Amino acid sequence: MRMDLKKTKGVAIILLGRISGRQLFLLTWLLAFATSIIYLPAALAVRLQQDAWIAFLLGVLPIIPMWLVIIGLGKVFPGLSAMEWSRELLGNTRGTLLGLVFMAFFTFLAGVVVRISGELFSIAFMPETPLWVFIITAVVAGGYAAWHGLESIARGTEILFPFIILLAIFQVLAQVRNVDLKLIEPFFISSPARFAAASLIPAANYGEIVVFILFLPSLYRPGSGTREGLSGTIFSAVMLAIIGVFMLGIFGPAELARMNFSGLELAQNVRVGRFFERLESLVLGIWMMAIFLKIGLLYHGVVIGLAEWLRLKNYRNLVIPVGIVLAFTAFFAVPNYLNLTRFMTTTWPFLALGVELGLPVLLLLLAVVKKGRKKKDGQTH
Amino acid sequence: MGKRPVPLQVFMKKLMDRKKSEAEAGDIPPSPPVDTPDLAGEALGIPLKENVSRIKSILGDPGDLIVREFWIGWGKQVRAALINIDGLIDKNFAADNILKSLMLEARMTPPQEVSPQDAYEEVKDRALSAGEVKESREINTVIDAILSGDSVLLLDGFDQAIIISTKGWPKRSVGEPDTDKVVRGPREGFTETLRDNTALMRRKIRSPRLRMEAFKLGEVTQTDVVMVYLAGVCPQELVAEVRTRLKRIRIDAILESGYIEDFIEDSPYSPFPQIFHSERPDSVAGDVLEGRVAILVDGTPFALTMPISINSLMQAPEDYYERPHIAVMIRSLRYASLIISLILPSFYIAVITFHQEMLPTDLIISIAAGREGMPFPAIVEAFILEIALEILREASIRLPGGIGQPVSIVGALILGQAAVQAGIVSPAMVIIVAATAIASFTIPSFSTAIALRLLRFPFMILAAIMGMWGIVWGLTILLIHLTSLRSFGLPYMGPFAPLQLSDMKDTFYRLHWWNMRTRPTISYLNRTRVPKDLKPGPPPVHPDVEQNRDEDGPEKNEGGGDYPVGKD
Repeated sequence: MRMDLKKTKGVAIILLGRISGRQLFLLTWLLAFATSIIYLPAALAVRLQQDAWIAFLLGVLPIIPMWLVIIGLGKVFPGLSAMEWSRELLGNTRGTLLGLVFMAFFTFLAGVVVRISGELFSIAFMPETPLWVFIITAVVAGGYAAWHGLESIARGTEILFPFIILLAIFQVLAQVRNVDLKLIEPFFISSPARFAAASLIPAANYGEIVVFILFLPSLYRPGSGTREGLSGTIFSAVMLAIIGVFMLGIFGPAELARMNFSGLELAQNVRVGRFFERLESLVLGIWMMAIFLKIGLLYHGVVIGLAEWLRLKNYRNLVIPVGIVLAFTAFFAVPNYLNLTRFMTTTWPFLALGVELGLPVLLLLLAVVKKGRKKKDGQTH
Repeated sequence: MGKRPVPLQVFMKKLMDRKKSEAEAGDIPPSPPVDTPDLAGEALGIPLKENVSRIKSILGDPGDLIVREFWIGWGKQVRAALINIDGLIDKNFAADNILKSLMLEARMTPPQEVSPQDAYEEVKDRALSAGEVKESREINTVIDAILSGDSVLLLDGFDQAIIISTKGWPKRSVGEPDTDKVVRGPREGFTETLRDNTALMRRKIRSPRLRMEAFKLGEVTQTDVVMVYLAGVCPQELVAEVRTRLKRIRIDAILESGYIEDFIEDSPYSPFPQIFHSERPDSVAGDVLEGRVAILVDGTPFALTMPISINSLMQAPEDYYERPHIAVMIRSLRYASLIISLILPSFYIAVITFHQEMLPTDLIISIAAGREGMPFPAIVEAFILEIALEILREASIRLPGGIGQPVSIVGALILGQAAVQAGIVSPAMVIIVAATAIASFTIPSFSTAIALRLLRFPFMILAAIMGMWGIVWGLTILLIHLTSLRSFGLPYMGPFAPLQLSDMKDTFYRLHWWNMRTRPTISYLNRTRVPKDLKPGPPPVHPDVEQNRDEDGPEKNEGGGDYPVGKD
């Protein structure tokens, strides 16, 4: 029983089960920030040494057209879900196939996030607990969020956001005296080609926002959101760059390149006075909530997309089957953490950007051409 | 082999058979009310004797039913009967304004001629001196009036009854509520009588827009329930929603507002209260003025208000009466206590069991020394103490004040001290559990504190199994649960999520009243509460005073201060 107070804008956002611009900003930020801090700095330090932090900023460039394309698709097909318009655009069979590609992509992505969070905890804190315990609990948490829907995840992020920002500020203040800026000088030692290649890694990570292609009808005002989404990506890129500077300035590029969980190591380094030390489990706790929400968001994307793909009226019946698939993906997709990060930083960016950027661009071009042709037909008749 | 059925199988088979027969029988029909004939639409008869005996038989001729038959004062022409229930009526009022006026005073002003046809009008319009009078031909209404403390006057030869309001039963006077005590603020609380409570509301809000809609709920108890709201501020959709939810209620009895709360909340399986209750008229009036709906129930001093968010559960009336600075500190403390009372024990268990490195070395050494020789793991220790605390709380809550205190002293001091010395629990755990209990007392809403008390146990188990991961996992589930919760359609975590910046003025902090310019978002109809530019300050300096000061110095200005002094 939901009241339908459509009369004012403010109340309508709350009651219609949609997400506002601010929430879009936060969800974008969540997607880009939650997991990339774990393994990206080390991978970038391998490739760019002390310039690793710049790649976080350069990675934003491919995201600008991506947002324009995604929001543009929402404008071309207002009110339609991704599966509906892709069938309309490509015909039934090809549209269905395309939907399958997207679903597989998101399932794998969610599985990887589950695996990373589990690996992180099991390696860093509880090596005796078997991995499947973490995987199953993470999937259950994500599934609970996916069951409750986008609105709940967005609000959860709203609650969590100030805590993460406070924690980040605390980290910065606590560590700023340890940073040796000489370690990141001189800038731009790598060739532009190396920069371009390396910045594809964070770009693929930011590009996970392609999941919003499924949530376009949930946006409060279809067709808007480019600004909020893009600023969310930029905000997390800047946060990541600052954290990158800190990591490089504290550990140095060579040491950073050898780290498995650079974000964790940074948290372990905090020391205020003689009593505030080794707060990494606290830091990791709050951060892990963000990762759970990210799992929930991707999970919800899979469930929603699959429900539309199968033309179901209610997505909630799919939560448990998808969860089982997710758990298996997380457990069996990669043999171990090292393989996972290697895959995520070598092959994955090209594959991911193909799905994240390539497919939407093609779709939008096709849509524009088709619409133009329709208009022409309309004019000649 | 396998011939004899296992008992469990027999049981299951019986169960299945029963279920089957139930399914065949279809839905269980609603049980009809016991031996009360359906009186709907039945009218009174003409002869007085018949009416009186009918009413007597319907009520089962109870000992507290008073039937007074008499002649109306002007001679032996009109026979009348006054029926009411002893104890529910104000006897003095009934004697003075009904019996006296009809039997004695009527004699002094006899009508010119009383034809039997006019007697009814004559009695009602001239002789009867009671104030609140209704008429009815239906026997149902008459019975209802008698049971709610009114007197019924029947005249021989008329099939219409005069219902005279004579309500007056023993009741508690308005006093200070035991819960929600304040240092500064009104000390009156609701009572068990609905009329008193509505009067208290009217005394607070003297506006024609204060609407009170009456309901009768409970098929047997016929409890009066009143929905209170401020028209023009409370959205009509909300009022309609509350009304439909109230009308859905079908139950034999409503003994407390909790019954209604159970019927009308959004998510019955959530441990968190989605409807606020209070005994304080000022707090309920404050909610009504913000555009919420209040429900007053006869027979209980607890009124319900809705919709609420987690923020309304953290507000205490005093926050609004004292200076806003202290409200900032107290409210932040309450939010901190909310988190402490939820996860402090589980956090301690996680740290002791899995993440010892988080504590400073000296502290972990002293804790380890305290735990030396301890037979139980931290989780068992915590459960022993928490359950002991819950038992203690339950034991002392119903004891009279004189015994309650010694019990808590025995429990807390002696038992705790002895348990530590005997090596059953560690001193650190006692501190943690005590701190948690104290933190949970700072939460103004008792039902929220209960929810946190319940949730503490699963969190402790999670922490014991999976350490920080378990706590964080539980917190994520809780976060999603809270953000998905709604109270009458409004998000429970508001105004934090979704963020409503205009409503943040009354959360961790509270602005000055002159600065709280709008009502919360629920009342989107009429949001402005305080006009602009009402910030108080010292009076502007008068130009004359300035001049005097410049020329002659301050000693000439005899009036003192900045106020202009009269010339003559």
